[in-house]
Amino acid sequence: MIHQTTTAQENSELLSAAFDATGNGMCFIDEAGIVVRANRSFCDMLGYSAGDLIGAPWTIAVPPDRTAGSGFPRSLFSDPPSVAEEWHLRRKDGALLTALASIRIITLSSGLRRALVFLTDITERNRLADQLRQNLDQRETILQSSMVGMVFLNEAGRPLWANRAMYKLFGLRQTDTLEASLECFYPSREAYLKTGAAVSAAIASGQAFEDEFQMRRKDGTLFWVYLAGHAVNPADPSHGTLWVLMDITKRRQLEEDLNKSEERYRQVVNHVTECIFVVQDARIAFGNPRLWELTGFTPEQLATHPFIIAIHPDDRQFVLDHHTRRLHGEQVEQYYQFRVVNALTGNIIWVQLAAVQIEWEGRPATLSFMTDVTERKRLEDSLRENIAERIRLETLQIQAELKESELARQHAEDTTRAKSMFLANMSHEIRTPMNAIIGMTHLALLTHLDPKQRDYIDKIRSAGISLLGIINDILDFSKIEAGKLDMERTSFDLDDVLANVSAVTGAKAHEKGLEYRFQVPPDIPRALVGDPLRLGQVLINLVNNAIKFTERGEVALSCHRNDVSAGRVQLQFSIRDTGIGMHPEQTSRLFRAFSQADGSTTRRYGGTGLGLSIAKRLVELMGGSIWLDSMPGIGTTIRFTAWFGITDAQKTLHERRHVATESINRARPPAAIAHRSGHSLPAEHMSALPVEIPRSSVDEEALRISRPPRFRNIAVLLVEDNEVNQQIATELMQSAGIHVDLAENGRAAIDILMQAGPDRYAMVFMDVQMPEMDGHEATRRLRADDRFADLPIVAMTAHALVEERQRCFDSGMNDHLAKPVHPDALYQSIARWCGQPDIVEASDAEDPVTRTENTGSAGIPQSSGAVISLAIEGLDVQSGLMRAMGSMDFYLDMLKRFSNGQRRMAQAIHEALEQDRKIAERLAHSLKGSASLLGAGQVQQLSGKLETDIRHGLVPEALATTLFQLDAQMQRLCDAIDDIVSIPADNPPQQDIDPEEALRRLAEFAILLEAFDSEAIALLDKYGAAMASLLDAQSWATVEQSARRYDFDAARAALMQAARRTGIDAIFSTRRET
Amino acid sequence: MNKAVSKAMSNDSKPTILVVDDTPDNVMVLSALLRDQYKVKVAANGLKALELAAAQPPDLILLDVMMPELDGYETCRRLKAAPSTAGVPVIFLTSRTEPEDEEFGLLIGAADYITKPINPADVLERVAKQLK
Repeated sequence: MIHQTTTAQENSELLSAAFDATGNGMCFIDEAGIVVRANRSFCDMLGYSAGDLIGAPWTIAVPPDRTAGSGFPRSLFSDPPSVAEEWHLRRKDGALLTALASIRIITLSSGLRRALVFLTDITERNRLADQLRQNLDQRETILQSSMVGMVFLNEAGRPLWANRAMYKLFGLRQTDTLEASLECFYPSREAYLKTGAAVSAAIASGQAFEDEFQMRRKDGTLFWVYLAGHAVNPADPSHGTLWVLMDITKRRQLEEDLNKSEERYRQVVNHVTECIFVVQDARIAFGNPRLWELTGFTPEQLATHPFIIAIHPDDRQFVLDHHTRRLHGEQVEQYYQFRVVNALTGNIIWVQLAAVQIEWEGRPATLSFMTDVTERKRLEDSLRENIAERIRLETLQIQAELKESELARQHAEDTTRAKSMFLANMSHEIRTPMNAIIGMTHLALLTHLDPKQRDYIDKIRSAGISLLGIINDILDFSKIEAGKLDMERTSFDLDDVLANVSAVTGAKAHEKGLEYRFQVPPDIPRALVGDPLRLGQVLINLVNNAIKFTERGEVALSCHRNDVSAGRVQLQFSIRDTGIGMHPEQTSRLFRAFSQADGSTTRRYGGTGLGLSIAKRLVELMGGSIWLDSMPGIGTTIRFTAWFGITDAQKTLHERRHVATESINRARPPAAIAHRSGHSLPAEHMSALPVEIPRSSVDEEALRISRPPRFRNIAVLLVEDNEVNQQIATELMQSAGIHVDLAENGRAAIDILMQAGPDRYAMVFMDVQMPEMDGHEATRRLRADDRFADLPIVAMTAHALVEERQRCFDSGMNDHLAKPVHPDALYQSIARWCGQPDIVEASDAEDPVTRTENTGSAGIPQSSGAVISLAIEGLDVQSGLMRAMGSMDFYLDMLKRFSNGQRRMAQAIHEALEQDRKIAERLAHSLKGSASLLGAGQVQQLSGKLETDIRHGLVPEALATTLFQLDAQMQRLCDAIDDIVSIPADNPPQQDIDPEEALRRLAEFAILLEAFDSEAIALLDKYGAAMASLLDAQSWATVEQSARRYDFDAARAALMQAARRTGIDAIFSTRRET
Repeated sequence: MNKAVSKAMSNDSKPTILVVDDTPDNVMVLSALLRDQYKVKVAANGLKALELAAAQPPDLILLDVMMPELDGYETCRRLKAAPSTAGVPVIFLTSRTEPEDEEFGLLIGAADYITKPINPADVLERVAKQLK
């Protein structure tokens, strides 16, 4: 065996080496299942050593859970696997091992069998295969579950595979088989072919293809797809193509929406008239076409240059400043304007810019809106220019107006001054002739006058005084209107004012038979400070009114204290009457100027209608108010308040009583015109005592002709330039026994006084306005000389204004008399300043004619003892008498014949002119001759002129004035002549008339009255006294007054009544019948 | 005309003039002016004037305008409205001097219009003219 084995041994050694060297695991297992031999690879594979394995059952590597039969043969020998099988084994270290096992049964020569087991480790191979399988599964899952549709097409474009998403996209079920052609998935054949061509072209050239287009779902609806694909092998299209496909409908929609929206914005932005742009990093990051248009720059230019280049050089700093401040987050004006220079045209464009901060592409930027405002600016500028121009013009106008108003104001001031001057002058100019009228009539009334003359002159005087009142009213009113009425503030006694009121008004009340009462309680303070003249003026005005409008009953003036405060007292005066009263609508007009209760009142009661208006203003100047209550037919109560100061020097009641008693004891009617008379009628007496004014003073009131008092051994210097005034004052004083010397101006007065010394004259009456040297200057010069420091100098001036009076005092005069000078005032002034107490009440017994003759001032020629005062205006009696050879009788006869024969000569000339101018001329010539003979100078002159004018051929119209003047003069002259010459003939002494004649006249009178024949008055003039003798005085007075008022009804009624009472009424009926 | 002559003339042969004025002085002046040639009747107011004129129409009326109660214009209107007095010439005599016043006076039937203060010769002439 060994031998055999040697060879065999060698064999065996070779086999063993191969056995061990092979990489496959090999082992021999005996029939008992025991490993008899294992090679290295086998051992390594199982992790056992050869020693471990040899002798061990082969199942040593079978995992416990796996037994033979379960993956392993039960018996290697009886059931050997024919093919290699996978065995899952466990290595010694526990790791599992998958091996591919192959078994070969070998039968030994001994007959014993051995199992040769080959093991190949396939664990790694299996793991890789598992992994691959797993990967493939995963990919399939991914592909299938992808949202993106995928399809694999063969070379012919037929689908080989498509994922679920693809099915879903086209609305297919998984079970649907894909059509051979894909045309049905396209909207149209054209679309299919077009896409197919494009795809083919791409694939053929080895390119990928992608596109977006619409495809059709199974249900026919279209949707947008994104398609992309390429050949599996770009070099060899035969391997097919792979495609992905996405539904992009939503995206497309969004894009479309976005596009639309963007388009809209673009449209807006591109077409707005504003420039819209974004500035970022000082450059235009975005701008709309309008910007390029407006600036003339291209987008590129503005994108690469600072935006500032488009702006006018002068405005760049301004804009930059704004821009920078905005960038820094400062608050800047939302809008501002600057200029842009168009790069193409060079035009300057005004723009207005509004900007906001925004984020542009993630970074801060400015979004600006810029508007061309050039036109607007131009309009604004032109408007502004217009406005500026207008403002300039208006300013000019305003300046002009201001200047004008300043001029107007100055003018108004000048006017006011002029008005004031005018007032002063008017006052002077009016008073001067009034002075002459009133003064001369006064003098005339002192001369011998026949009743008719006396009547005329009385009437002139009455009219003069009334006119003076009216003038005073108007001047007062003008002064008030001009604000020129000054109120005095001087101490006065209320009782004096009231006494004066009663003096001035009482007469009239008495005349009308009215009860006239003053009620002034004791508690009213008497010593007041204010303007007594103005208070008196108001009271007199109101009382006069009350009396004027009251026919019967009473007028009462009362006063009470309203209020006392701080040295002042408010008094309320009431004037109550039982007169005609007024309706409310009448009272409302009362205080207006020039207005009376009704138009006809003026006619019935007269007056300027200024009185109440003046009273109202005066009351207002005294700090008070005026109002009235009135009832038609019942009466009127007018009340006013006024403030006065109270002086400390309040008289005690006792003193007042004492004075009062004394006053009343020696009371005589107060002077007609308001002057301090020294009378004091205190209230307690007045209230008890209706003011009784003696009848004698009633008639006289303002018209009373005072008998001059007698002064002795007084010389007065009268300084006066006006001859009329000289005459009046001189005669007034001479008639009172005063020696008067004249100086015709201030200088003359000084000369006279200096020469005469201070003792020659008791006082000086000084006119103010005089030529050469006025009264003020003269007085100042006199006062400068100590010798004349105390010489009483009294101003006589027509300036009645308060300030004028003040000026007189200022220049050193002692007192002031207003012209027209009232005789009483003149005498009182002399009495006051000359200290001569013996003002002799005029002796009523003294014959004025005698006195006049005594003073020798009337200039009446006393001829042949005739008691005829021959002073006829327009007649030079002396010259006439001379021509009458000094024979008054002859002269009178001549006058008489002249009057009778030539009275109507002017008329005759006038008539002759129309027929025969020669006759007219002759008549004028003849009249001239007669006039010159008589000394009728004016008639002579006028008729001479007429004669010449007629001869010169003047037409009648041109002669009318002279004719009229001549006629008037002739009438006056003849009337005067008739009055003087005819009296003896026509007016036989009335006391000589026998009662029968008187009765006849009375009957005739009654008839004339009844016939309303004006001859009744002529009869009255002639036979008044005779007729009066038949009736009682009272009745006759009524008859005569009524007749003279031409109220013939009343006159006749009164006459009849009186005649019946007297028992002579029978004559009327019988006389009339005869 | 001499006074003796005027006296000798019978009152009745003279034309009658009614003077209407509420101011006695005016009446006095007018009657003095007219009495030589005319018979002068007087009325102190418009109502009296109407009464007198109605009773015995005068040959002419001199009528003041401003009078209480019944003014001259109204008086004139009434005179012109009454058949018996419609033919009597009326001359207004007034201190109103506005041309409109004159026009108004003439409108309501006045024959003439004389303003005050009167010019006596003028008054006589105008009166005579109306009585021709």
